Amino acid sequence: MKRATDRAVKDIAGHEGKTALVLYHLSTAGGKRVFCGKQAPDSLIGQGGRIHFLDGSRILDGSLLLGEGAEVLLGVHDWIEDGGRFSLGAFQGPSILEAFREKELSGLTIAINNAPDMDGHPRMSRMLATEPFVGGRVDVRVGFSGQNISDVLSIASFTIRRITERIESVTIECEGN
Amino acid sequence: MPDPTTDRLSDSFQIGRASRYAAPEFEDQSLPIIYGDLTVPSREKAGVYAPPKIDTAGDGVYCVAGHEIWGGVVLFDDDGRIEADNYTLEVAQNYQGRGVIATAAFTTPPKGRVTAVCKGRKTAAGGLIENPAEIVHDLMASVWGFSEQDVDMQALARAATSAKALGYRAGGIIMDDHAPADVLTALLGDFLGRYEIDPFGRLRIHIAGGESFMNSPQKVLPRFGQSHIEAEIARDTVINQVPALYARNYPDARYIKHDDGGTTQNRSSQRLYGVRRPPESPLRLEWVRRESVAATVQSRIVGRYHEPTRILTIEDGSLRALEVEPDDYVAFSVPWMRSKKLEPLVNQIGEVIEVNYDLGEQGMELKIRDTGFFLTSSPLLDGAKILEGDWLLGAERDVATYA
Repeated sequence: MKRATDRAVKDIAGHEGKTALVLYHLSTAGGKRVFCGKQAPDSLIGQGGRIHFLDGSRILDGSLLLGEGAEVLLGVHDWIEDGGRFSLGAFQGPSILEAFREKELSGLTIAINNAPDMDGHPRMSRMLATEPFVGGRVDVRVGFSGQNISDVLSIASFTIRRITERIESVTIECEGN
Repeated sequence: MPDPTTDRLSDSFQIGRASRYAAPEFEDQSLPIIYGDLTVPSREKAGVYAPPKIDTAGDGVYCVAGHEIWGGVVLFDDDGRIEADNYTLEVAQNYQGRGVIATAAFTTPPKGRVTAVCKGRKTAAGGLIENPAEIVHDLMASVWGFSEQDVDMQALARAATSAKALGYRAGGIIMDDHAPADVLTALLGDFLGRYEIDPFGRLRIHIAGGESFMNSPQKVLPRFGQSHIEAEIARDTVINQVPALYARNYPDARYIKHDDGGTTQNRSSQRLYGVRRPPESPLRLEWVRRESVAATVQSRIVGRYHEPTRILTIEDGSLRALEVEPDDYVAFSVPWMRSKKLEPLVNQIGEVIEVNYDLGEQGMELKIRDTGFFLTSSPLLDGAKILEGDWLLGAERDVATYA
């Protein structure tokens, strides 16, 4: 069972017919960008930052910024055209025994609108030219309006493998880590 | 920030090769990574793998393992077992300053090809690493270069406990370049285990434990509309006999042991459905070396699949099962379906096999294996119930609506 706050669980149980906000956090060496289908409130975005599990594997000697501010948030963009689909537990073959023996690691493909920015240049193309998207990480999260960052549920994590750039849209292909 | 382009499960891991030493016989030979007890089953004439000759000077030096080992080394040549006096064994030696390996330096030249058995990698405390979950941890942290941060340690501990309770002991050799994901599938799959990448990008492993008493559901699913649920029962899901090959012999890529599954077959299932074996039969248990472990795996597969499995597919267009993951046990209700006792299928317990997300349509699809178990009610004996034989205390299906 995924980790979720009580409030998030309540939201999930009671939101039939409503629209959840799916957020794609793209982290690269340059910083983080959040992509979504429609503009998400700041309260669901946070200011960046990776989650660090304090299980003894980190030494808090000043070299690590915990939580917010650990990563630069470069922008929030409601440009997602197709949020894609993926599977957990996918397997090949006719028998469910194959769930154990023929495991598949699911990928994710998302399409992002590449409409011109204020200067008339395709906006994603501008980013792709300067930011190292390939090899970056995509964290898929789901939130509900009216709540805050701690109630956003993490769904899956992928690594960007390939990017196809067209004048009207950009396709980002990811694979399971 | 760590470089996200390195240390990936699906990237190929380059195994160490003999080329790192000054005078190897063949530079392309890999330095084997060995786990578990390869002295089982016992061998009299030949070992189960061929260690590379990493130094041709003198009578030759062989790399028994590309790391420190527990011990138990026996070497063989064309004449059979080699006397221990004929070589000097080092279970941990920083050979030519190129890292710690286990070596056998011959003082009398062997005849023909050298093969070996041994006991492989050990813990910091000196114990032999045999638990499949502990092997996964050691591979991740000590071989493939991942950090503890990349592993869900709680899930790992649970898997290790399950494996220990079931008596699982793994043994095998990694001798080629490989993607960690492939090794994880092969290793865990042999023990009805599997892995996922959790929402934080960490490796989460799971070894299916006993079912009758461990499957208290983590969530009660809401009741979905009739049009969004279908169930499938297929004869292909039945497995009532598991022929197995185990104890791999690496030089000729064969298996030393075979069991036809006769002792663990389910005859009543076979009378109903015919003899049904796994899709790829015999099952090749690459990481199993012991008869007792093979028998446990065989009997657990038969115990789990000797009846046709009802697989329910539930389409959820509202993401109301968002927290659910594979291997979770959930309670679900489909009142228009019936149980074996012809009761409406209410509060039935299922194991989540697969979760498909369609983020574009904001929907998800769950595949759930019906375990046959269900939530039971616990009535108060306050006089409202009369115990006159029409009531099964603690075994009545709970028909309350929880979600």
